[in-house]
Amino acid sequence: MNRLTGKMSSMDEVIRYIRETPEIASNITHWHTIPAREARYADFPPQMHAKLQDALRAKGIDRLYSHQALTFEHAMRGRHTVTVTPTASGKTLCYNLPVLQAILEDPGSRALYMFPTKALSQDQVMELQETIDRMDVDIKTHTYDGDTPPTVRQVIRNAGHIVVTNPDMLHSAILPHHTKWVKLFENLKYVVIDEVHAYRGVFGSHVANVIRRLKRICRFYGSRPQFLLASATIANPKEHAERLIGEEMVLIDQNGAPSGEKHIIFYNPPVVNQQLGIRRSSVLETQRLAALLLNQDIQTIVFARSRVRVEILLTYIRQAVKRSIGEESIRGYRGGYLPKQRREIERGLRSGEIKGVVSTNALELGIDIGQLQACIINGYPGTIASTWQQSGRAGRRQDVSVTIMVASSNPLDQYVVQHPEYFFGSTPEQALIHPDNLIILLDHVKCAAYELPFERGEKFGEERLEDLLEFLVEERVLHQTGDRWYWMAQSFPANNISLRSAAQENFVIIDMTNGHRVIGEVDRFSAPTLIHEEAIYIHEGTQYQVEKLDYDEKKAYVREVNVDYYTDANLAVELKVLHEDRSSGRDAVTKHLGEVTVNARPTIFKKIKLRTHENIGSGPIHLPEEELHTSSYWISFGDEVSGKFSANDMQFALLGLSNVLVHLAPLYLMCDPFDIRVVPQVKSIHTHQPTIFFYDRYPGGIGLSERLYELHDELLTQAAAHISCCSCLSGCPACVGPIEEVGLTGKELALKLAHEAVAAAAAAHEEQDDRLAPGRSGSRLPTYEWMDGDGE
Amino acid sequence: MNSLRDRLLRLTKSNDEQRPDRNATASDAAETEAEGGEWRQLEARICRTDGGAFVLRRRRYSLAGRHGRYSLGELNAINNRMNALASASDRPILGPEQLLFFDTETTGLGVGAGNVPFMIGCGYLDGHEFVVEQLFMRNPAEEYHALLHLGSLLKRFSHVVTYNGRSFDWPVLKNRFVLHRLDAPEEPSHLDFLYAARSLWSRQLASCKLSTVEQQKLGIFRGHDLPGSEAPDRYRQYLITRRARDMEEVFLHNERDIVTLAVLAVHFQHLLSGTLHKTPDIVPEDEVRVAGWLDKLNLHSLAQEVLHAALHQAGQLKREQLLEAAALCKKWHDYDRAARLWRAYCQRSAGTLHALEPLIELAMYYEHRRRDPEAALHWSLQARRLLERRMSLSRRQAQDRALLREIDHRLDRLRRKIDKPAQEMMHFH
Repeated sequence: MNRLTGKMSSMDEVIRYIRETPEIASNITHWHTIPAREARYADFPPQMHAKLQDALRAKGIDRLYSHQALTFEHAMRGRHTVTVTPTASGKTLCYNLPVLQAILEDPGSRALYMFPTKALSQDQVMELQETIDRMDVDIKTHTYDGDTPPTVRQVIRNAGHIVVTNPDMLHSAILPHHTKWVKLFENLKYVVIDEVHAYRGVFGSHVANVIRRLKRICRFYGSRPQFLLASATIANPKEHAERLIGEEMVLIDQNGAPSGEKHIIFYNPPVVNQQLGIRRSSVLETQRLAALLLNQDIQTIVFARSRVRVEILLTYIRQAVKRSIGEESIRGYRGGYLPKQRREIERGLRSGEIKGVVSTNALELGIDIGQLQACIINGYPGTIASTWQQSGRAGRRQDVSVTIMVASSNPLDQYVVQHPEYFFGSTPEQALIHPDNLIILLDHVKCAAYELPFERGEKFGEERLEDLLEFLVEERVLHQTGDRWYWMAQSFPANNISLRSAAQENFVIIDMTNGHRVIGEVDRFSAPTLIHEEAIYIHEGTQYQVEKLDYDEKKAYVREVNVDYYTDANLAVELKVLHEDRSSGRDAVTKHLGEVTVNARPTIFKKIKLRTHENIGSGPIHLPEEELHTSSYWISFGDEVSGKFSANDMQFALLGLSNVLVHLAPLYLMCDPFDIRVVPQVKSIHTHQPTIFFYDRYPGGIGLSERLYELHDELLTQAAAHISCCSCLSGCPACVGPIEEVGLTGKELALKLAHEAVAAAAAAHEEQDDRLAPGRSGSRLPTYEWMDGDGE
Repeated sequence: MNSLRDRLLRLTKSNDEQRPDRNATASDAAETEAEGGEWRQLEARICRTDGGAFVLRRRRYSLAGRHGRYSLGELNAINNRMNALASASDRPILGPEQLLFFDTETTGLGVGAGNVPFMIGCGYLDGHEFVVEQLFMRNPAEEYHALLHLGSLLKRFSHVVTYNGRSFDWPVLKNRFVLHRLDAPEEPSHLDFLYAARSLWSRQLASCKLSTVEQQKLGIFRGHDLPGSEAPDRYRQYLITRRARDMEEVFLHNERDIVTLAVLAVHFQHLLSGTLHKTPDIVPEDEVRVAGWLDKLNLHSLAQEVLHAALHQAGQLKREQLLEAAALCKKWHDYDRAARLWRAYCQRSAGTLHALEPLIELAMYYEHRRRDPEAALHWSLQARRLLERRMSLSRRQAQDRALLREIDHRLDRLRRKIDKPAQEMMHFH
């Protein structure tokens, strides 16, 4: 270290400093080092076109990474492929090579590229164009999105060899107008879909249906394209890709790219109040660590879970580095920033002009920002896959990089930070999609019928298509003649169907401080809690107060303010059971699966002081109620169990247990923690018993509750283990919730209830085992290695 | 009731009371020969082709009958002048028998693949008659055969005449050919009257809808007529009831549109051959507009002819029309006539806050064309006075100030020009 300036000369020195400074090192629960890895190469496959080989050599590439060569070979054999590789491993060549090869061999061939966002498409076209220019051939590549001018569109439809687009465009502009794209669909050889892991949940379920429609149109024009997919690491890439595409895939997952040494550090802020289990704020700890790195001139990305968190962190970090590198070299990045602003930030990161960026998972996707040196994750991102993705933002092929995960006090974070074996030992989560969600399926059956009449015997999804078609005939959307169903409504169905829930219904935020200026947007679901009147909305570190929310026009009018608090809104939720599909278990504890309606209404908001986070006031929110009709999984406790609790105790036990369960559930469902919600009821109207309800926060459900129903035993076992492992005395935010919420005996009661549930499940199993395999006995509770140890 | 349907009902929250009774829906299978009789009442018949059928209604109009201002017989006057309305790259029009008048009724809006033209109306001259031929599909399955029929009909004509057909009816039809995997007919040459109507009347009429144009410009009054926007609903109704008479008004509406298109062609032929302004019922202000339109179509001499005729009754022109006429004259380098019109405008507008442009134009005219700096000074001063008054009332200060500087600049120059000869005289002495 330079004694005068305090500057360290290398990353190694910074790592040593972290290791040797007790105030930091004492909070580190785990230090994982991934050694540098050599590249694995393969020669150019012999069948690769000479021009392609020359173009690669001109770029300084004279052999391929093993995974690139393998994908190429499988593609040449006519297989659908899915390539799983981490960031910066040259995955684009995996699909570009077969596509360019096909067009070189037959200039009539066409390819369609699909990226989840517009920004990614634009990056992609630039890179492809470079390779094409080097070959000096006439291959036309175009992006086709909302920004494409009408005059160019015509040209692309007829002459574009490679059309680069996004699922939304495919859904609303290309497929419904397929008759203008005859050339493309007749000659479609390859469909490339990148960032496949991003197509999960509701969005993924929609996209799977868009692909069903795409394949249907291709069949009509007599083409049968091959699908080339690329994904970040998830547990089930092959299965996920197969569900998404509806075809058998070949999985290529041996990464041949080299990487530099990588340090992954788990950091748990120190406990400041043992009794209440309160830890130092993860935000402040993140600020400290980020400042440490940034002050050493290390380009750093900070990820935060929510948009509000991003803004708060941005403000804090800017303050901390104001003197050293200047506020302007630290930027925020999240959904809701306008595209132009985002492009500018991406450029700044690539050029090194911007030293630090605080982002939501918006930067997790493959947007090209170059490779940074360090990554700090504020709060466990919710999934193993996502954590690796974020961590992949740091690390160049040669250099040492570091990722620090700073745990917050919520149970999921505490669980992960105290059980690193779980994180490093298990495969990442599965990407779940549910393309046959009835609402989603029905929407796309409509779109498909608009595109092409349905014929008897056709298949579209797993539900009985003819029942759906008949339903739409009744609704007078379709008309049946003989064995065909025709679109008959006046509307254009794709217009009313958005692939990204609420994406179409964004609220715009208008700053009135100086004239009227749109500064950002917020999706419909977040609006009631983020931009209700009097809310403090933070944008690029500046505070604004919402003065007026025009709910019908979807506009929020804000004015710049300077206050020392932020706001947090409460939501009142009411839940009713409509229909029970399945249930099992014994009298003591039963699990159920069915449909529910949920009514949610924001009630009050709290003003929370910055830094101390104390509650300094509150106010009402007057907004309409939202109704949601969805699928639900619930656990009810019979008299046998509830008899062991007083009514009052039962309430705390339920609350405590549901707090733990809802935080653990996302471990199994590769979903945002907000996608699955929980509601405990001491005496449910439906079961007349103490009950814990889980529901999917999407109309019709997206399969999350169904998966939890299957995982029932495992979920409860883990909950019990987690509560008993927690180091707090009687409940803390990291397990059953703070004492103020669950009472002094909350932890004990929740644990008791969890044990009852586990015992009931074990008994049920035993019974079943006895029936299935006489003579065998004993519990078949799932066990986990980490259950024995206690982390560090 | 199956459970899937129950779930759908719960999820889509459809109101059961509003749900149409399925039993009321006659199935296609129930279609009987008796239906043929129903169609005969509409003067239509079921046209059977190889493996298919659709409804065809053919009505013949005598060429002598009048439709508003014109008779269909005047279609015979259509000649190569009509080419002015087609693209330069199109084939030339040789005669009226090459035109196919054409209009569709569709199930929806836009030109997406799912928009179905359930009725295709065509009109053409056939010897001593004008024929309106309407193809109607009783269900979407009949479309294929209707399209085949249309395809062979199209081959007989070089041009299609439509109202917004270039960007709507034709692309929609083309989609249908592609969807049925039929070879789309060769792109015909278009005479899309919507463009001409817009450039002629968009400022004058409340809308350029065909129904407005026919009343205001062609003198056709339909009486009761189904609004075109209701046609899709009628068709959906028909698909449920399967009563031919539910379609009667749609047939009538579409047929009238075709006839109106033909009459509009007659009107345009008159405008393009300069035969219209001789009729007594056209007012001079229309003629100014027509002259401007002809000028845009590069029919300059005809445009001048029409304008000059209008200027014989300049007194009847509105003030704005005087300016339009003056602008045309200026464009044709007929500066004297333009100056007369600007002066007339200023005279008639005296005392009001009128347009500044004619005053400046006059100043320029006297300074540069007539080389009369004193007259130019007079008009420049007028312009300055008007502008000052306007500035005292208006907020567009920045623009006006720039204008004022320009005028002052001109005033300086003019004053120098006026003084200069005087100075020269002094030297002479």
